[in-house]
Amino acid sequence: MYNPVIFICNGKEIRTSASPTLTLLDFIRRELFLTGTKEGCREGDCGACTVLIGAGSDDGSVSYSAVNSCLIPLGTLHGKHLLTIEGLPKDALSPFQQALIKEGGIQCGFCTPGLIMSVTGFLLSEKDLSIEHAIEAIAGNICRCTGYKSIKRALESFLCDSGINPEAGEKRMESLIENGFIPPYFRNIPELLRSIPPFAEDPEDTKLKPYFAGGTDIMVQKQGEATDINFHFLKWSEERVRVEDGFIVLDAALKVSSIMDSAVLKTCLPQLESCLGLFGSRQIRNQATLGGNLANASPIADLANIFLALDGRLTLQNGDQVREVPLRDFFLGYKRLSKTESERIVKLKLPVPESGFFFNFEKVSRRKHLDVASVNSSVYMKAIDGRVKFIHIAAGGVAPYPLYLKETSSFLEGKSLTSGIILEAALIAQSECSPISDIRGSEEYKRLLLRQLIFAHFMKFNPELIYSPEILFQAQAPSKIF
Amino acid sequence: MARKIVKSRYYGDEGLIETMAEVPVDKLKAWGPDAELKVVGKPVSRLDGYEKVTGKAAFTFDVSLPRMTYAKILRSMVPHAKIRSIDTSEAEDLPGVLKILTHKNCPVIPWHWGTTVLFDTEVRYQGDEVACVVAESMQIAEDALSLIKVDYEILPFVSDPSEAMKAEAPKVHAWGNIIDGKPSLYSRGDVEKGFQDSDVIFEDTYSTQVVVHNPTEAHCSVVSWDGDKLTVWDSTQALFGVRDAIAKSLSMPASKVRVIKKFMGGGFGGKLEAGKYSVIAALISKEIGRPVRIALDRKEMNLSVGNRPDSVQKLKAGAKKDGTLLALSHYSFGNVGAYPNDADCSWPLRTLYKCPNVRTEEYSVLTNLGRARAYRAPGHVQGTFAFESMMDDLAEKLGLDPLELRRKNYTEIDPVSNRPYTSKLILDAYQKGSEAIGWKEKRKPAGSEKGRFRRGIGMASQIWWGGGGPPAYATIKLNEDASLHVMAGTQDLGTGTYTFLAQIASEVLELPIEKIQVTIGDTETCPYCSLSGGSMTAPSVSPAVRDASEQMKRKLISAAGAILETSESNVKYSAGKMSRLDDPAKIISISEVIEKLDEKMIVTTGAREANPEGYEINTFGAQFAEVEVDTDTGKVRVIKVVAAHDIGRVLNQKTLFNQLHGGIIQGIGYALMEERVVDTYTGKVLTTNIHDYKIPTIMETPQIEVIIVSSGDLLISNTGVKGVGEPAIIPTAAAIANAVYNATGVRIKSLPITADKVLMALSEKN
Repeated sequence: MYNPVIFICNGKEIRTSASPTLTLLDFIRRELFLTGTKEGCREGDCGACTVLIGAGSDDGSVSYSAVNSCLIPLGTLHGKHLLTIEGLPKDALSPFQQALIKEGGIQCGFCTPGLIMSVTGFLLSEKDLSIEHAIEAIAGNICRCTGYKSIKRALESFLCDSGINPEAGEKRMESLIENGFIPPYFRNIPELLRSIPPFAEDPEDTKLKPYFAGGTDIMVQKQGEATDINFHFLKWSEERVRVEDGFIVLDAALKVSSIMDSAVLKTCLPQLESCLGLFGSRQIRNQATLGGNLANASPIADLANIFLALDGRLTLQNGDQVREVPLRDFFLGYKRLSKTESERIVKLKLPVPESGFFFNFEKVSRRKHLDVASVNSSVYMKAIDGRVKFIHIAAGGVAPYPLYLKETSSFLEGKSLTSGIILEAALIAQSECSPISDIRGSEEYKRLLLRQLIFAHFMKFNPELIYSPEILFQAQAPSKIF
Repeated sequence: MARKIVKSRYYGDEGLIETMAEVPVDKLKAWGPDAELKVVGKPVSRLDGYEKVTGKAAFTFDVSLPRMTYAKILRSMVPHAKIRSIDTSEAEDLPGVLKILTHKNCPVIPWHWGTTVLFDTEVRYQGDEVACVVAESMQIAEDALSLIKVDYEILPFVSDPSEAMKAEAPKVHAWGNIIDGKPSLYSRGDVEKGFQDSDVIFEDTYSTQVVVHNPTEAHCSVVSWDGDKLTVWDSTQALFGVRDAIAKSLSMPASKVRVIKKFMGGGFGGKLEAGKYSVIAALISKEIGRPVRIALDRKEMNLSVGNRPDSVQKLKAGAKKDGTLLALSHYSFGNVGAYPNDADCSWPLRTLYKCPNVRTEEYSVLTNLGRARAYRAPGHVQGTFAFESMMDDLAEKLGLDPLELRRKNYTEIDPVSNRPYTSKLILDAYQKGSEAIGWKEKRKPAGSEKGRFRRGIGMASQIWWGGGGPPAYATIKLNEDASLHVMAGTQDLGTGTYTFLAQIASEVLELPIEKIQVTIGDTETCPYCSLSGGSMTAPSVSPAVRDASEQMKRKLISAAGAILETSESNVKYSAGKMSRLDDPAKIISISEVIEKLDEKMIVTTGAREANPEGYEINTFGAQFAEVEVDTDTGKVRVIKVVAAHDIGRVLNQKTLFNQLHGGIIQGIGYALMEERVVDTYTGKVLTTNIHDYKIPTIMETPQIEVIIVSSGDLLISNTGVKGVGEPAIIPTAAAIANAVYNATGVRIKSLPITADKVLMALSEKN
């Protein structure tokens, strides 16, 4: 018997004593018999099980995120609002549902409910209701039949004349109700959520449990409906990214989508938003956390790569003890970290970028979106009159852990950039990396790709210096630079 | 209406089908190109739209019955082994486990043409069935699987078909690793002489990968017994095939098995056969006396339910200086996995162009991997990639425009059977397609682009069958309130069958589509139609519905004549009302007629007519692709695809576009990212989920322009429809490969065209 998990499903309160680690998708389909939510892959890769989770905040508003219910344990739902396809307005189809029918954006129909939920989540939470953002919001919903064109037309047709208030927040919500996208009971949700008491957890017990952040990795690894591990469910951080003492400070429990939305980062590091658009899908970004991605230490972790180049520093906490460790000293080996079991990542700090800096992130994967890189690389640098003032280059997929290219970076520091210097830097990078052949490419390819990504950085930095990779080939035969 | 039995000949997914079929004696006149149709061909919204956008559409995956139990299959973890022993005792002791089936307690039921049985004592691929647990819940069934102990005697295995063809290779079956022990051969003319007479010879080897269907809905069944009668809900493309396979496996009359499939989450050919899982569930369900649900997971979907075989194709072409093809030869082998299937892929080479001398030699090779199955235009997709890549290479060698080379070798007669086509509008497709992509204006010589990002344009031709044929029947029931029920034993993969069948009846009887109910996907209530594959559903079933509807109209006219006391020829039918031509005031409605007849409904059954004798029926088309290649990383982005096709009459513009767009996107997946990867050291598949097996998302969608060059084939059937599901995917990969060559001057001869191949090829070139 477990302490009850209480939440609002569509318009109704649900109280269950099922295991908090039960997969939400299974609870929805097998316990609630709401079979509109489909099961496609159980790994967060198809979006067929997409639902919305609304979390109340202190100001009384509820913010909604589209998530893959196959990656959500029931326990994280406590005190939240769950919206499934069955919770959409019953009297009339929503304008998007109508548009899907009218534009033929449906074929077999198996992916359709998940798609509709992703779009509903987009309408509820997205600040910019452009067609580009709408398309990006459904990039995690695989459709094997329609070829997506009719879905895109459906999005275009209703977005151009939706009557939706562009201002995100309460006014948006009201306009969505008025226009039939969501039912009127949404007005009552904040109050209903407030009436749910906090999850009854024994504080002593909590100490023994492992922390559960986004769960996008652990939920894939566990097989079946539930797991024996009893987690302490971490609250997704509500705290905004902030600037303190010359550092940008990010909470470890920030979701990737919160990082993308951060006003501070949009000002200080405007390139970051589009880079993170290559991280998983919208659903995954709405779940995965900064701390989780770093602690996972995958050699090709995008966040680790980006923040290595941005000279990130971690704050680790164990009870009252707090220490700081540079990210580049944090990764010791394959899934080995400079962190004790009882230490928890709480913060990431980045130096506020100097004006005139250059940042670039490159990622090559089999599929551009919703994929893991073969090799990824970030550069963060500043050059004055062609001379490098400082530079940090990181590379993923070429070592057992996210790699900071120390030698390459220090070689470039102080140098005037020429194609010869860039070739030499690429050669040094080869000596720093140790890729292995796997499903994402052969060792030879990864070495070649790392070189090409370093070229790509400088092509973007100064297209006049290198306007085509051949310029470099002409300078020196490729075989010589390995 | 009078019927007769004729020889019927048509091509399906597996090639030529020759059968006897009951057809109407009198053929209805086909709707002509100028026919003013009000419903057919119009962009009617799909009838199942409401159910699908509200989540109310119940797929087999969603079927839930009282007292239902859950089955899960234990599959071999190793590529090849003999099962020394299985110990299920611990699993059986797990509370909630109801039944475990293994080779020890399962009747011997032959499978795959007797090459194996339901539970074999020898497992031949990672994923072969070893045991099945049925339990009170999915979780218990899954937990029980881990408690079953299997002692394997590991046997040598082979994963690579080129290895498997060698005499010393481990044998997948005692009888050898090559299907039929020999190649399948075809030849016409004198190929050697053709090559001798040629001015230019080109030869090269092309290869394609294994790809997996991965429909969104997994293969699944729910089975339930009522006494000696079995009902099976199955996610299938072949209702009657599943019914008969289950009846035969369980030694019971087919009349006692009912197969139902209302909605399914895609199939693409992977659901054309009965699955072992359905039979296993039926066996256990009978024994425990409770319904059983069995649904495969994504890993099983990637291991055990079929794939498009790979291919290695060695092609050779001989041509005159002006481009006239004189000889073609094709040698290929492909991996069909652990149980029989075929990997032949030479049909495009045999049939696309006029060429007097052709020889093909093809091997279907068994290995210790999951078995191949029909997958959307089997053979043609692999074959077209290689052959149309080679045609591009040949054009380059001859110094000809690739499109000119193809036009030069156009044929009006099928080069294999020497019969004329009922219609062939491929030249129109070349013309309109090339205009739409900007072939003349935008296409530059191969590899002439400079800079990091380089664009190129390529094209490829398409040929496929898709004419369908008899037998196919439809019954329609007209109720007293003038509502209509259409029933046909076909199935909707999601392609729009419900909608276009209603459109046909609505067109003929001039009844509003809202008053028409379509029931398909039920072997008990619907008359027979063939499986839904080979792009045959619309061309086979739509004429049967038109036949039934026209009969209904004649019946109504006949009845009205009797009631209005005049001859039938003096009765005019219009929108559900019959009036006397000589006295339009004398008018009677459907309701009044049926009331007078003292029947609650009028029933007619229509049949698909025979295909015309002495003709070949084919679909044709051409696709044009524009791509951009990042020469720094090798990444390929498809910018635009123009698809110009001859597919007969369009029944519904919306569902047609979806079929074409969907086929093209699957073609892009095939061309650029989809690939089953196998570790040949362990014989294990590395891509067992859609995290590693990449399917295109909306972000990979280029601009697509669809051009239909046909308006209806007057010779084939009363609706003039050809199929479109398969034509859509056939030329896409070849067009992309040719565009990549045009952009970079680098020919990628193996699919998929991934960034690593392009980058490695570019760096070799430099």
